[in-house]
Amino acid sequence: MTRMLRVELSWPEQNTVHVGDDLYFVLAREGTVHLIASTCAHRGGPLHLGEVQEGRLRCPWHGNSFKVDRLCVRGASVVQRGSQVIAYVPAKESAQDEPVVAHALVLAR
Amino acid sequence: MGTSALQSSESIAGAVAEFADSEPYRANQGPFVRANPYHRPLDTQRLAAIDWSRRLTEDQFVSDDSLMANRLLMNVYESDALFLPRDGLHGKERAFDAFYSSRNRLLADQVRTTAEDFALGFLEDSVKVTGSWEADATLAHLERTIDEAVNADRPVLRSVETAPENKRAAEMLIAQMALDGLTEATAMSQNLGGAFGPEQSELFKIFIDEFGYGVYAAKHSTLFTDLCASTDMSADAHHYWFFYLPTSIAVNNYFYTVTHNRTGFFRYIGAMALLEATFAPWFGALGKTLRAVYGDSVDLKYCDEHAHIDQHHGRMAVHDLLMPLARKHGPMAARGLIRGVEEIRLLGALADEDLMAQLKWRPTAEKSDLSTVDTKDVVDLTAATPFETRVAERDCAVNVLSGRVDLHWRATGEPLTLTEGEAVRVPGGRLYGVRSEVDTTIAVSDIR
Repeated sequence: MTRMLRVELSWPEQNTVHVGDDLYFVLAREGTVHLIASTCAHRGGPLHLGEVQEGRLRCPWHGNSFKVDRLCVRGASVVQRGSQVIAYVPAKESAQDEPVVAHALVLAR
Repeated sequence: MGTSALQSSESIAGAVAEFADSEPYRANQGPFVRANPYHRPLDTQRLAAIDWSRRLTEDQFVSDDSLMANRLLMNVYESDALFLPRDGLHGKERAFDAFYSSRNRLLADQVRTTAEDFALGFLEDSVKVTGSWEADATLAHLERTIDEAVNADRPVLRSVETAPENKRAAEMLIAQMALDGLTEATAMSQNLGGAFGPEQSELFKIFIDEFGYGVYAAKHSTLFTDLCASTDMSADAHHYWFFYLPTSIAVNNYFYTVTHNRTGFFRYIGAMALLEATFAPWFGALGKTLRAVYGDSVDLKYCDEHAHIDQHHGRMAVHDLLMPLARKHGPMAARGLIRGVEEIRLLGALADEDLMAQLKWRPTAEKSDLSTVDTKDVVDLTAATPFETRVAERDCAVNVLSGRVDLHWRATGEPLTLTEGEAVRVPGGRLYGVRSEVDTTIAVSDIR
């Protein structure tokens, strides 16, 4: 069972959300914020440190690449009003973690 | 801009000009439109100055272009709904024919999407909804948003209560409410047809409450009429035409936009659900404000009915309509539902700010500073000059060079009379109109 955690970011000053060991990062396209899970589906590489080329995000560990369009559609639930961003990220029902927002090095853009 | 876009823009401007120049939309002599639901003045010159190839930005939402575009759009929508004069059609048969003429309906269809994009397209830029909105996130966001709205301060009602002329302030609020109050649930009726499962029946349940179960005295618009009568206000459709603020018209237009276009259905349900879920406490508070302002004389059935039935409508709209739609139709539908919630929240906040600024403005006569007057700003008025209201684009002064002029800035109460040598400051964004019974010369000059 999962529950939805609400998190508020002031973007672009804050561009990442940490929930326990999970990291989400902002991928902005033409000013529109998408909040993407950073864990690569292959071996858990850090997608936020990957590069976007020709519409695909390439994981820096083993080079697996993912369509950015698809990552965005599957991203966290986001409402954006200018620099104010509200997002909902999943967490295990039993987990005690609260989301923490931060600024981090994000190469995927 | 490409050639085809330019041609398109020109053809839209032509259609707007022809529509606005037709009989229903011609000028009015006085500040009030009396007992004629088919007469909705549109200023052809100001409409002609609009560049329809662009869209208003959020910063331009309180502007004269916004006022004109939203007036036009309201006429486009409402010429698709039936209005009959309360005292019968006698003497207005020609106006009835003109308002609903095939030619005007055709022109309305031609300009509608462009006018919608111009007036409300900024919502696409101002509100962004992304990601995968599954049911749990949708419900979490909705519940939090409703909670915030229900527990928020109500600054508009505080503004009314504390206004030096609180009855005039309340009446300006009621005039804005009349946009929807006298035709309540007309936009909702646009989605009663078709076939969309159990949610169609849930929507219908809300609708029949709005329509008083077929009992005219219980219909919400009748209750609103009773409220108007008890405050000595007119209950004729658009009697206060000139005193609708652009943002008030836009909120009303929004509901027509998202119901007229079927792809707006989910946005409509989101917006409607948020309002229904927050109306009960809001109308409870409004009732207290009106009672404090008017005492026992005011008829509050309209507020009382909403304060009660919207407790049910809120639950029904969220749990029997919105959430089943989100679960059944998936993330794309859910994004639309959330977009509607956010759009009406933004529009409501902008409309509240606009109304509070209008209520706060207390125009006073002062000595005119002729050094600021430019000859290009000089306008001659006579008793035959049509009345119009406009939104000041920036801080300006209306200077009376000769004669006498009345400044109108609210739906009820006496205007401010200015005589030769006097002026009044109009803050940018405020709605005002001038009327003169004698030959008068004024100059509207910017305040630098």
